[in-house]
Amino acid sequence: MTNHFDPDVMVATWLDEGPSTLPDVARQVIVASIHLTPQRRDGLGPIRWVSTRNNAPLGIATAAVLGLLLLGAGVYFVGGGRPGVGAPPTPTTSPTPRASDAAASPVPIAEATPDFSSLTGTILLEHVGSALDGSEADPPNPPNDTRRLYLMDRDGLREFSPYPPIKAAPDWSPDGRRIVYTDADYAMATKIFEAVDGEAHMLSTSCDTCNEDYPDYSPDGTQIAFVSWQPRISDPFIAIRDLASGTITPLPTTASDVGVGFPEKPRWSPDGTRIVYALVQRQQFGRPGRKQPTIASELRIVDVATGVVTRLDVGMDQVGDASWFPDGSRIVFADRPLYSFGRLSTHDIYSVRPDGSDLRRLTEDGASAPSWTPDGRILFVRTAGSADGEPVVGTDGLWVMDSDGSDAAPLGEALPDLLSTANGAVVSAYWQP
Amino acid sequence: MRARLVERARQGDESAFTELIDLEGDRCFAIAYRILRDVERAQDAVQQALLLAWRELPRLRDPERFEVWLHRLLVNACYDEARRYRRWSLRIRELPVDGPSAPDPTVSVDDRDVLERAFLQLSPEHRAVFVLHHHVGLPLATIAEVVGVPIGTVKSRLHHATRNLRAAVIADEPGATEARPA
Repeated sequence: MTNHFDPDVMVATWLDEGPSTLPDVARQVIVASIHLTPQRRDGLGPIRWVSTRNNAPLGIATAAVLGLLLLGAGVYFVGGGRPGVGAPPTPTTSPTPRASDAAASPVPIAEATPDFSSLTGTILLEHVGSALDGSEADPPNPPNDTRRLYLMDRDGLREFSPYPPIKAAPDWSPDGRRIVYTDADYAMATKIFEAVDGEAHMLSTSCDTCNEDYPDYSPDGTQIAFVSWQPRISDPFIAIRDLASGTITPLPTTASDVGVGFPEKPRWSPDGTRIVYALVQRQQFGRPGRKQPTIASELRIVDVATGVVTRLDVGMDQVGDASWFPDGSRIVFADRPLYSFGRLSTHDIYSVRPDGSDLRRLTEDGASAPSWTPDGRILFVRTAGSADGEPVVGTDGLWVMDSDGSDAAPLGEALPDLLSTANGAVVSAYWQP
Repeated sequence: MRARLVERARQGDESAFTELIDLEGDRCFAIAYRILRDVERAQDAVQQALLLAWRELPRLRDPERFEVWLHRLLVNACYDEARRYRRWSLRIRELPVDGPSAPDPTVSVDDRDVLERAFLQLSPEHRAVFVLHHHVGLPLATIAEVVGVPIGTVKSRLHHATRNLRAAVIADEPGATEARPA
């Protein structure tokens, strides 16, 4: 005699139980994400190549740089002065007059007067490595790529918020009241957050596994440009989010057309019509907060209205940290940018016209991460050589210089010690507008 | 009609693809849930599969093959999701939005627990074959196409999964005897 137990019926019954309807929220997210996912087709649209290699002004400038380097080397090493770098540039900004502006020649580094005492406003610092407060003296797995944000003003230094530590790629809103930055959510996807009056909220509304990074406010503060990607589904590309409506406009032409590539650090032009960014090729895509060494990178400019991409060949194989001069006439950038945080050799700051002409080198002593002060000067991270010849990131702290590379001066004498630890340093800084 | 929608979506028509989501979304979710046994991860897998389908649609040569092709993307997404979950095992799980359907009285709470554990011990590949055959009702040849293995492998996986589940249920019923002869 058998009972009524039939394992196959039981399994079949159990299998049919459970939800069979895609939740509305999930459907809405998918439908919204379609708009953010360009279809894979041949070609990416019009791309224009602008080369400076055949550019006569660059040849002249290069020759001038080499000549002046040779002439100025002795002065630099003997007298502590800073050699000229190419033909005198045309001023492109009108910074607030300072006492040193009266001097006809660049201020020697040794005599530069720190102006940290006159600091007004707040500087937002992006830091990589062990915490500045010493709470994480020995990173468990060096090199420690943990990123934190700090705020620095005349009252001192404070961490942007204590948790979680993976915060990066910050930007001030034009009115100086809001900060956007990226962080990882519970699923370890990179999301964009906005902090207003000490309260942060997530701006990213796309799917769980969608990543958003490198936010940048538009000049009028109503939009942000950012990099969007979903592993295995969409290649990274730049998109624009309208902050009022949440509407997202993708710029699919910014995706890589040279194999695995990642558009990074988009920066709006002052008139809001163009965005400059670096297209970076890394060994592989890492998880949030873990940057892989850069293989190569180049500067590109996308026209927001048409999507037309212009490539800027500046004759260097690793460039980034680009941003526009306040008047839009030029672009400042760094070679071997610090945010890659790989093994660095040399890195310096340059400027170039948006059409790729008139490349100028602004520093020669190891500098990176250029950004802008409210009065139109360049704020940057200065680096120095270590005993074994490898530069130590950020050991010389924050400096400022005029937009033509003159009048370089440290922001404060105590800053190098303040902003560096044995296993970490500030890699970029952003002055409150 | 479906082929026309697929063709329009291939040309980049987002509204056509939205209609395809309405046609296929529930079935995809039902399959993904049964393979993964988790609402949230099933949503992620469906999302991944549908967005991948949208991205790659211009490369689909035959619109009539859309359903099999989509199921293949879905099963692969479930594999990814199952492996991702192993790495990030600490997650907050939400309750199903629409709730489970009314439990069948022929399956007790204990039985469900036993089946759940036994099913999750199967590999995602075995689970996929089992669900596609017993829940969706696909013929073995179609399953072979969807999961991308020979039909013999499908039979083998199906046999292995069925045997394990049956054994788990029987082991949990000490006084029971099989209704069917071995």
